[in-house]
Amino acid sequence: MPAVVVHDIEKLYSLGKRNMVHALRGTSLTVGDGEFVAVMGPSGSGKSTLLNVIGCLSAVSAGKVRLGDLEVTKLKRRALDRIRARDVGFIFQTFSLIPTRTALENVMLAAEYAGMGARERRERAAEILRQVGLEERLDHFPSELSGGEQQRVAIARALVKSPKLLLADEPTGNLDSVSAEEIMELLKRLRGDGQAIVMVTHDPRMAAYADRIVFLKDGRVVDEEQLRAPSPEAAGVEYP
Amino acid sequence: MLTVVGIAVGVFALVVLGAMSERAEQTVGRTGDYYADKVMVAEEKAATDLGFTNGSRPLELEKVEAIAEVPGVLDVSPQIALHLDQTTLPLGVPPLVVGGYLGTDEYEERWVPAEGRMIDDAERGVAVVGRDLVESLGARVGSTVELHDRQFEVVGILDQSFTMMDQSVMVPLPDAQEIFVSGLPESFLDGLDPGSVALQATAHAVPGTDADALADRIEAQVDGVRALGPTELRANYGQVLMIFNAILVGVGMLALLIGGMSILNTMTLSVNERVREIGVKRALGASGWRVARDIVAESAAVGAIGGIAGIAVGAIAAQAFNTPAMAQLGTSMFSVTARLVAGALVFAVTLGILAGVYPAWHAARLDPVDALAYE
Repeated sequence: MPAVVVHDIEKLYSLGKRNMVHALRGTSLTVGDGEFVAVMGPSGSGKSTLLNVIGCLSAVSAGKVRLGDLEVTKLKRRALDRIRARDVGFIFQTFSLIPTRTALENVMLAAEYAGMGARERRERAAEILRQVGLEERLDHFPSELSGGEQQRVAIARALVKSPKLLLADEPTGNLDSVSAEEIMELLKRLRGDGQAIVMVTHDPRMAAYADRIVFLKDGRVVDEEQLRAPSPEAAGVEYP
Repeated sequence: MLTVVGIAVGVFALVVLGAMSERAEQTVGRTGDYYADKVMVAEEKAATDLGFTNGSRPLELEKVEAIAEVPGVLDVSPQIALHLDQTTLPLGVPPLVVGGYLGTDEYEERWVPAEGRMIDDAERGVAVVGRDLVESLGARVGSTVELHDRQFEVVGILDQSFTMMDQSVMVPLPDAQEIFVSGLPESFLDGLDPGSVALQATAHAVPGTDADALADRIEAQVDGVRALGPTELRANYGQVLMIFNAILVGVGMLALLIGGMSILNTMTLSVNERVREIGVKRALGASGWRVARDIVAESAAVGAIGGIAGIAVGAIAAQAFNTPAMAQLGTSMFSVTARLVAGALVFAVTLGILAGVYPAWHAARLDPVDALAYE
């Protein structure tokens, strides 16, 4: 079963009274289980909107979105909150750590939302921070960490709940090239759990880490490039 | 930080005034108990119900004798109670000079001299001083005190009773009569025999008699008097408390306004500063409800910290005010009770919660995507 099926979705939103933005126009995309898809396209092509729709942060105007066997376009808000808390991990361009919490506490917060007990949270958060190489930095606040380190905390935060799907919006956009390469290597390595990844990026070097690149323009998928052999689940799946 | 101070100031004022109210209530409550089986009688047109005011219309002793004849009256004793010092008007029960016995057996049972003795029937120029006035009058057994320009020899000092007698000096009735008459206007003095007047009389009910009903009977049978039973008396004393409580409610409302607005402002600013953070939490799966709950909890914590600080400073201040009050007025003015502390804390936390509701609601309604994009 594919991790994500997006079928013919439309997304309209208003920026003031007469200014309707048609961000997605009949977009369709299928991401196989464990597949790493990079989404590229010019600014305003609807990349981030697509990511928000897949991440249940934003509702579609028309069309269907399925995560695993759940049709999320039919779900109520509380159920969507729950999916984000348990099944989806977000990584943002600006890291978006909570400045008043330490690295460990930032990761533990996501574990708490995912419904883990207090003890499990602490152990799991410390373990995942060790995996991203920050075992010496558990009690540091975001302001005491470099950009690369902050993004590694954010990755730990996204992965602490072992989500089925990882969504990354320009995860290396605010990093120097060395840190960016490190982050991408880390993502590749930690994906061992079989998570599907959808990553929005401008940078072809980063997109090159993906199994497949999807090109978006004016809210439509205009091209695809297969870089590696698709995982068996991802191949030949159609929306039923 | 400023918010905490804002709450603390409000709660501080609340605690200090509350402590004053508690102290007044202690005195009034115990004094009220004392009057449970008594009827206070004053001249019909007396200036105040209790006849405490110097210059009130006197109550003739003939009437006091007539009261004694009313069925249900065990005995009746005339009194004169005058302000000790007319220049100050302290809050609560004022210090008094009391002439005349306040009852008989019970009087001896309830007011016990801690030192010295009580006044004998036929004595003149002697005084028994209430506990709270010992220091301000510089009274010792055997020393002389000056009351209304007259010298009195102190023969006894009362034990603390937590009634208004703590703040009274007892003198023989004839002495009080003279002080009282000397304070009357000239037109009153014409042919007035000081020995024939009192300001009020206390009628003791025969055990088992309803003192309120007795008061009605006295008014019906004796012309030109007002008789107050325990219910009315309590209501009168209660007015003192009502004034305190009204002030307290006023200060409470002010604290609510200032402290509440302060928290509301801080939390609203805090939410506006953390829109992105709220977006991130929503993306991580926090429900709007969860985000709102965190904000209310934070706001309640601010209220609690401010409340604790206010209570601590208020309690210290009440203690600090008590020391000079003891020295100058001879009585403590504040009583910080457990229920006052608990009430103030509950007030502060409730304030915090209420002030957190709007910013929390605002935060919960933020669209996650907009919040994430917020710069």
